[in-house]
Amino acid sequence: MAFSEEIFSLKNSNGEMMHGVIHHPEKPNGALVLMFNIGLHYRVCHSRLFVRQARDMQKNGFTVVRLDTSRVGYSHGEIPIGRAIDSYDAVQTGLFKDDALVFLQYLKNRFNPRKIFFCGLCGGALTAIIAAAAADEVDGVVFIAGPVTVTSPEYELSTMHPFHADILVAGYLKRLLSPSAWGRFFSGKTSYRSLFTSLKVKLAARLKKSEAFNGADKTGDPESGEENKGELFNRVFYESFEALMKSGKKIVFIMPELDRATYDFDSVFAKKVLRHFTESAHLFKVARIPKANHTFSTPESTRCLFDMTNEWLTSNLP
Amino acid sequence: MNINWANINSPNLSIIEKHGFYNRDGKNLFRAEYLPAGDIKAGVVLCSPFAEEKIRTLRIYVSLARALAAKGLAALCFDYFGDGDSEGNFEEALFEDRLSDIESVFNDFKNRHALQKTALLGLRWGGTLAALTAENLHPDLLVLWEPIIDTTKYFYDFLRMNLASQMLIEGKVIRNRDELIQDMRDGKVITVEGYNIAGGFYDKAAAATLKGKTMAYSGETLIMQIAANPERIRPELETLRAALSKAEIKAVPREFEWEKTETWRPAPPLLFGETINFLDKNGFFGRNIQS
Repeated sequence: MAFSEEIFSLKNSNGEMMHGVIHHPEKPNGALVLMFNIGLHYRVCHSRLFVRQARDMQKNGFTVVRLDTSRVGYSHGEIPIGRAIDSYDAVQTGLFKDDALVFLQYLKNRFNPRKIFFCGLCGGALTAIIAAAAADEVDGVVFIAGPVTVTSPEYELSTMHPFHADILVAGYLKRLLSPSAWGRFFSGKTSYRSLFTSLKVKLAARLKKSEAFNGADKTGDPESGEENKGELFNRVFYESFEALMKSGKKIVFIMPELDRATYDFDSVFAKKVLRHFTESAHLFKVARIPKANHTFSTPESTRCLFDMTNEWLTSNLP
Repeated sequence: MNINWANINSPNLSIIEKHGFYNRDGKNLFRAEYLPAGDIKAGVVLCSPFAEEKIRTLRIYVSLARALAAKGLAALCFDYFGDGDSEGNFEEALFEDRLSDIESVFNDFKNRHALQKTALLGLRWGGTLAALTAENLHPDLLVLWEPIIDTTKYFYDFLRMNLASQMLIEGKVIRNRDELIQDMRDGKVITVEGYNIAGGFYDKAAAATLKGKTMAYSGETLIMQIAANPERIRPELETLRAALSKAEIKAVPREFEWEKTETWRPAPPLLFGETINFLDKNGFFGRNIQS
C-alpha cells in the first residue's frame, strides 16, 4: 500500500508540544489504536518495533497512532538528569497518564472511532493500562512485556534478578561436563562472583515464601510512606487492572518467554492475583510468545507478536 | 555560556519546530527542523548513528537542535530511508541510500533556507557518513562525535549481538559471525538486535571505512573524542586528524551512553559546549556568544 503516514502535534496542559505519527489505513475498520512510548525512549521503539507493528496493524484496517508523551523523543519537557533507572518507577506508576489522556481526546474527536485500544510495551504498557483505567472511552488494552513490579534503584543495581540467575545457572549446568569449562574454572577465568551470586539467588528464590502480594499490600503506593526495597507488586498497576475488570474493559497480556518481566508477571500476578478474577476471565487473556526476549528481536517472535496483537484486536472489533 | 542545559527541551517561543516528511526520489524521509524565529544564516544537519545507537541518542540530537536554534542557527534532524520514522524497512535500504539521504536533505535544507554557512554533524557511524558525504557536499564545517573509524571492525562487532541472541534462545551458537556473513552474501537477511541486515548493505557499509582513507574534505573539522579517559587521544583519531587538512581533536568524558541507557542526560554540557564553541569560532553565530 502507498505510504500514508502523518505527523501531528498538540500541547499538553503544561503547554509542552507533543508529537505523534498517524498511520492511515486504506480501508479503515473503525478502530483506533494508540501506541505509547516505551518509557524514556521514543515512539519508534527499539529495533523500530512500533513502526513495523503499526504498519502491520495499518494493513489490517486499524488507524494506528505512535506517540511521544512529553519529555521523550521530539516532544517538549524534561526528565530529571541522572540515572535512567531513577525514572522507571515514575513511568510505571503513571507519569505519562495525563499526556495519554490529552492524546486520546484529540484523536477521539478527530476520528470518531467505534473502538479505541491502548497499546504499549514495557513502561508503555503501564502508561496504556493506567490511562485506560482512567478513560471511559477506551475499550481495551494490549499490554506487551510490561513490568508489574516496582523496585528501588539501589536494590535493582545491587541485586541479581532471579530470571538472570536462572539463565546463568542453566548455562553452568550445560557446561558441567565440559573439560574446557572446568579448565576456565580452575584457571580463574570463570566469573566466580556471577557463579556464586546466581546460585545464591536461585536458591533464595526457591526458598522464598512470596510476600509480594497479600491483597492489602500497599507497596508501590506513593502515599503508603513505605520504603520500597525490592521487587514489589506495582499497586498502581493492580488498581488499574481491577478498574478495567470492573468496567468491563478487555486486556491482553502478551508476554515473551525469555524476559524477567514475564518472570515477575507470573510470580506476583498471574499465579496469585488472576485467580481472584475468575468472574472476569472473559475480559482478560494471557498470551505467551516462546523463545522471545523483551525486545522481540527475532523475526519469529516479532511475527508472533504482530499476529497475536492483530488477532486479539480483530476479535474485539464491533 | 549562556545556555541552561537543564531546560533546553522546555517550550521556547524563539524556536520554530517543523516536523514532517521529505520526499527523496519517491522515498518519504522523516525530518524535524528547528529554526530560530529571526533571520537564518547558518544551519547544521545532524546525521544519525546506526541501529539501536540512534534510538538511544535521539534525545541528544533533539536537545542539540533546540540549543542551536535558541542561539540563532537552523538545525535539522532526519531519519534515513528504512530507519526511524521514515518509509521503508531497514533491510530495504542500501548503503548508497544512506549517502543519498544525507546529500538530498542537506542540499534541500541549504537551498530552501538560503544558508550562507552549513555544517554536517554526526555521532558514531553518523559521523562516518558525515565525513564521507562531506567530500561531495562541501559544508563549511564538519563535526564528528566519536566517529567510527574502522567500520569493518564495527560491523563485525555488531554481529556479536546475534550470537548473544542465539545463546539466549538456543543455548548455544549455531552460526558464528563468519557463517552469518556468508549467509548474507548468499542472499539471506540476518537479524541483529531486531534489525534485518542484508549482505549488500553489510559489505558496503563495512568497506566504507575511514581507516587509512585519504580525506578530500578541506573544511574545518572538529573531531570529538568521547571517552572515559579524555586525557589520552586515541591513535586512530590522531590518524584521522592528520588525514584531514584542517582538523582539531577535543576530548570530553562520557556524559551519556549509546550502547545502553544508564544515564539520562539529553543535553551533555561538555560535548555541546565544545561543539558550540567550534561553531562560534568559525563564525556560525555571527558574533561571539561568549562575550
